[in-house]
Parts: sequence; C-alpha cells; structure tokens
Amino acid sequence: MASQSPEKSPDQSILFSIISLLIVIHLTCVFAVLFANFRRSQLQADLVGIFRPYTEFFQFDPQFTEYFLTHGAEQDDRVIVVDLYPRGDEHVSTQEMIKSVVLPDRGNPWTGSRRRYFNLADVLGIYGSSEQDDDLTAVLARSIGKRLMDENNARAAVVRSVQRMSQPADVSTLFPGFPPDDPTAPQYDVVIYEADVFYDDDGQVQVNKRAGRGEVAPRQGTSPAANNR
Amino acid sequence: MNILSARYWQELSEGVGSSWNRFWFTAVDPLPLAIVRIGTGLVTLLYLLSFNSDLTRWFADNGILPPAVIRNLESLQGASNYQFSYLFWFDQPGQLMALHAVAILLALALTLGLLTRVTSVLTLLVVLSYSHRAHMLTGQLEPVLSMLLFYLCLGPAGARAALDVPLYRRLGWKIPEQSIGANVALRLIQVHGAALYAMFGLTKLFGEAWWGGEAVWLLLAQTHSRPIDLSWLRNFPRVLNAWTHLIVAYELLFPVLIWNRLARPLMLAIGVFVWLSLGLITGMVPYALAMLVVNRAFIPAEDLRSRS
Repeated sequence: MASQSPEKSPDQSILFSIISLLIVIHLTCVFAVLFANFRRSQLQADLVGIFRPYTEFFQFDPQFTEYFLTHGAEQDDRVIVVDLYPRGDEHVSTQEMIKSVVLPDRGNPWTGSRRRYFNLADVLGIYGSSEQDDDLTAVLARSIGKRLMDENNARAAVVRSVQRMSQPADVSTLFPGFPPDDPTAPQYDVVIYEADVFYDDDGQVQVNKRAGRGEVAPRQGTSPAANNR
Repeated sequence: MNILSARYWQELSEGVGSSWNRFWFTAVDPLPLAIVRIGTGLVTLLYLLSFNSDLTRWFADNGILPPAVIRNLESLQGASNYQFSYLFWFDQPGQLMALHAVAILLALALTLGLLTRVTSVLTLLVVLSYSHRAHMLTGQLEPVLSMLLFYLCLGPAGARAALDVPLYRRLGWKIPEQSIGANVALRLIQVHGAALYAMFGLTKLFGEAWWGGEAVWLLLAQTHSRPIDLSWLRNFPRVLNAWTHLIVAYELLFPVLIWNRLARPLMLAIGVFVWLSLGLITGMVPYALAMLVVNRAFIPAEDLRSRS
C-alpha cells in the first residue's frame, strides 16, 4: 500500500491506542462468529451468545448459512409446491384442482430473487422434518397457502416442500426406475413436508400437517396431486 | 534468544507494536476504497432490484411473510432478537414500493459517491433492514454485503471517483490525498475477507463431496436453481474434479497467500475464475460479485493507477 509512515503526536498516540482496542474487540467478535458457522463448541456457543447483540445487529454473524454450498444430497434443491382447490369446506380429494403452483414461479435466476423461494423451501423442509417444530412449520405453511389461495381465488390448498434428488454424474449408478435422460422426472422428487391449508367457515385459515420426512416415499406418478390423495 | 529473557519480550512487544501500527495506521490513497464503494454500490443495487417483482408478495400485510407472521415465528423460536428493520413498520404495498424506490436511490447515490458519508450509513441500514425483515430468505450474500457497507462507513469512500469531489471543491472542503481512515477501512475488509475465505474452505473440508471431487457436479446438477444447464460436463469427470479441488485449494490458500506481494496478483486472477464460475453454475451472481469486491480491496492504489 502507498504509505506515509505513522509519525504520531501524543494525542494521536492515545487515539491510535483506542482505535487499536476497538479493532481487537471487533475482530474478536467477527472471528468468533465466523468460525462457529458450521459446528460450535460450548465455548464458541457461549461467545456467540455474548457477542450477539453486536454481531447480529450488523449481520457479521452468518449463523449456519451454508457457505460450503453443498455437502451432498442434503443440499439438493427444494421447492414449494402448492396445489389449489376452489372450496374450503370440502376435502381436496373430492375436488378438481384449479392449478398447481411451484415456487419460485417468477424471478431472475441470476439475481437471487428465485433463491429466496429455495431458502424458504429449505426452512419449511427443515422445520417440517422435525416433530418439535410443528408449530413453526404450521405458521409458515398457513402463510404461504393463504397468499397463494388469495392470488388464485382458491379456498383450499395443499402445501408441500419438495426436494429434487440430483442425478449422479455417472448415470450408470442410478437405481432402477430413475430415468437417466430426464433429471426432472417425478421419480426424483421427494416430499419433505405436506399440509392441507384451507379457509374454514369463519374465514380463518387453518392448517393440518399430513406427513413429515421419511413417511412419504419418492413419488412414482406424473402429477404431484395425483400421488398424494 | 531465550524465551525467558526480558529482552526477548521487549523486542517482541516492540516488533509487534510497530508492525501493528504500520499495518493499521499508515495513511494511504483512498482510491482503492472508492473502487470498493463503487463495486459494493452496484452489488447493493442488484440486491435491491432483485426484490422488485416480489417485494409486496413477501412483505405486505397480505404477503407470505407479513410482520405478524415473523413476530409469531420469533416468539415460537423463543430467541431474543437484536435485529433492526424499518420494514416492520410498513406493510401496505404503496408504502413498501415508495420505501423501496428510496432505498434504490440511496444505493445509487452511494455508487456515484454523492454525500457518501451519509448515504453509506443509510444504505447499510437499508440492507440490514431487508435482510433482518425475514431472515429465512437470506443467504450467502447478505453477511458479505453488510460487512462491505459497514467498513465503507468508516473511511473516506467518497474521496475519489465520486460526485463528492467536485461538490467538496465547490464548498471549499478538504479532500484527503492520503488517509489513515481509508487504510483502516481497507484493512478491516481485508482481514474480515481473509477470515471469510478461511471459513469457506474449512467448512468445505467437512464434506465428502469436496474431498471426492463431486461438489461442482452436485451444484450444476440442481435442475431448479441452476441458471444454465452444464450437465454435459458429466462427460469430463476429471474436469469436474479439478474444478472442485481448485475451489477448495483457493479458499484455503487465500488467507495465507494474499498477504504475499508476489502471490497476490495470482490469487486475485484465480479468484476471478473461481467466483465467476461459481456464479455461473449456482446463479449466485450477486454473492460472487460481492466476493470479487472483497478481492478488489487487496489491490493497492499504485497498482490501480498504473493500470489506468
């Protein structure tokens, strides 16, 4: 770097000392939260908690953001699939579906707008696969279902977090039944979370969870709706 | 020299002290910080513009994540919250769109270097507000972007290549030729950036996909999120392996080699390939560009001037 050597007056020396102290404190906070991004010891967890007011406010703490990008199938794409039906007072199995919306249904693949939907589908899938987080998942599913129903004049919906398993590079290692020439075939889709969302007689939106991860096998049919009712 | 001798500790203390002062408190040309400002401003604009089509769908009172839903989720999680977002105060589509337009103008002003001291702080608050408004929508970009904006607030980011320069001249205000504040801001970006790289590399080491050379394939095999189909590369497995290993090696070596004067240009050149290729296969272009802006903070003013 182009330089002017730091010749210091006594006042400047005190100022530099104060700035140095602030830099040390700041970088201690930053390093503590960054290196607790993936796994954390009890000490790291304690430090992250202590520094949280500062690191969370300025978003220095990425928490558990997946900067490794992928470790395998766990990070395969998840989308939210919403099947929409006209009546809330009747089970969806007896109704004709208005349409099925796959979120993201809009946005530019280069700018990050579509990725927000993938992130939301991840959260829905992660919460949805844990029985302890049923309430959290219900809040999200209700909110997603309500918005999509309102957009499409529907009164009932089936909200799903669907993970699409990625193909291996060597398609000869595929299990039987998975088409090698079509990585978007329904066989690759796994339902992680599924819930019925509907307007009740009082105009309130209700949600009933159908199944969590491990309870639903990879779909074999051609329509998401066809295989789950 | 004996570690138990007082002289050793005195020399160590003096050596560390003078190196520390030279590293942090040397006055430098603010041009590199101005370049970082322009890059950060452009990425911020891209980030804000990406909300255009979905702003009200996400955040309006009839949206997917209205304020009441976020509050409900936070209360269920039971965690205290140190997040700030002015977007919690507004949930009508008209209000949101008006605020969004102001946010874009602020980011544009920062990019152009207009009233930089003010617009850098306000743009930081804008980005924090968008990402804190619904943390489940955030990804890899937001912490990097917030970091860049935070450090831009600390230095004279509008002292070069900015509309502030003619404005300050007209007002008779002093524009620094050399600035310690610019150095502190750049050094913080560099140190924080190096720590980010170390974290990226170390967390990749935990995954079999990065050891096994399959990670790049796994990224470009994602049929929903990939922006273009490069799956024909499956016919070149060694290329995919090499690409994967290069990314890990780059991220692990960056925090060490970037401080070496001879290795730095090489690391920065490889970084262009690594980040643009990651942007290409994942679609995370704003994130890739933000990391390239972090890399730009390592290019000193004399190199920038000799290029121009």
